[in-house]
Amino acid sequence: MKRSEFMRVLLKYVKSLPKDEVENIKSYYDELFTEAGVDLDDEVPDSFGNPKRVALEILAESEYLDEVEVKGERVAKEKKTNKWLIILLAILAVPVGIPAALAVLGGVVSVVLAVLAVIFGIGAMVVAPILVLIFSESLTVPTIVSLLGITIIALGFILLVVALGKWLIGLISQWISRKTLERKVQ
Amino acid sequence: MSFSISGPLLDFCVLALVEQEDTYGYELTQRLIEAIDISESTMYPVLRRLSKNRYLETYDKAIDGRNRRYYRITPEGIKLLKEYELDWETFKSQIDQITGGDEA
Repeated sequence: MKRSEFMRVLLKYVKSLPKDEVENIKSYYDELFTEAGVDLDDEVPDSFGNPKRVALEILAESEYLDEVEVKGERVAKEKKTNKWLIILLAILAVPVGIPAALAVLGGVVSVVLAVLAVIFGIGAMVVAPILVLIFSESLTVPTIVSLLGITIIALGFILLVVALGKWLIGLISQWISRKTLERKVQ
Repeated sequence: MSFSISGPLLDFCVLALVEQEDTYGYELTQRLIEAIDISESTMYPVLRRLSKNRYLETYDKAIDGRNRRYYRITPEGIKLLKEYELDWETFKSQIDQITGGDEA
């Protein structure tokens, strides 16, 4: 096979590549042949191999490179937008976010305080009559009965609060599991 | 030679040769052919890959009224070459361990 034929076949199989890439291939092999002393009309030595095979090797290599490049670019872009989007949202959220966060914090603190107050109140209702019964020196039967009554009312309150708490917790956990299920389905 | 040299091993050889001195396609190919069994035209994909990944860079020199493209190793190329040298030592000793080549 002559050098001109070798080049014709080689370039025919790589013509799908970008123009500057084809130009690179042409100048590389032209240089190689000239350096090896193979003129356009000379026979190409066997050591140069088959031009179609050479073209396929080049194509395989360039496909691999472009794929990696495209993937790398896309991944990098997505990461960048995400980062900038998050920063932008964070900046925009500051004027609304800080008061909102304070309000939420205040709400949580007040609920916690309310719960503690109820527990403390009920606790006092249970303990106070018992203390009176122990330490008071002049106790009449009606006093004892009414003090015990208060304690029993307080115990009733405790049962009520426990029942109410159980119901509320059940409601909340049901809501959460429904939400996670919806997210999974989506 | 019954062992084929391609992929990272060929990259390793090319980087090592270019690191010694800047070289061009034909000279590089001839120096490789002296030692290993490769076809004269298979160096283009290797050089393109190494240049594309910036392990090598090219510059053109006018010789006898025509162009000759030289390849030069970059700092990244030198870094990769050092990694290959370490990997090669490990690989060599692993093969020696299996084949008993280190006992001689």
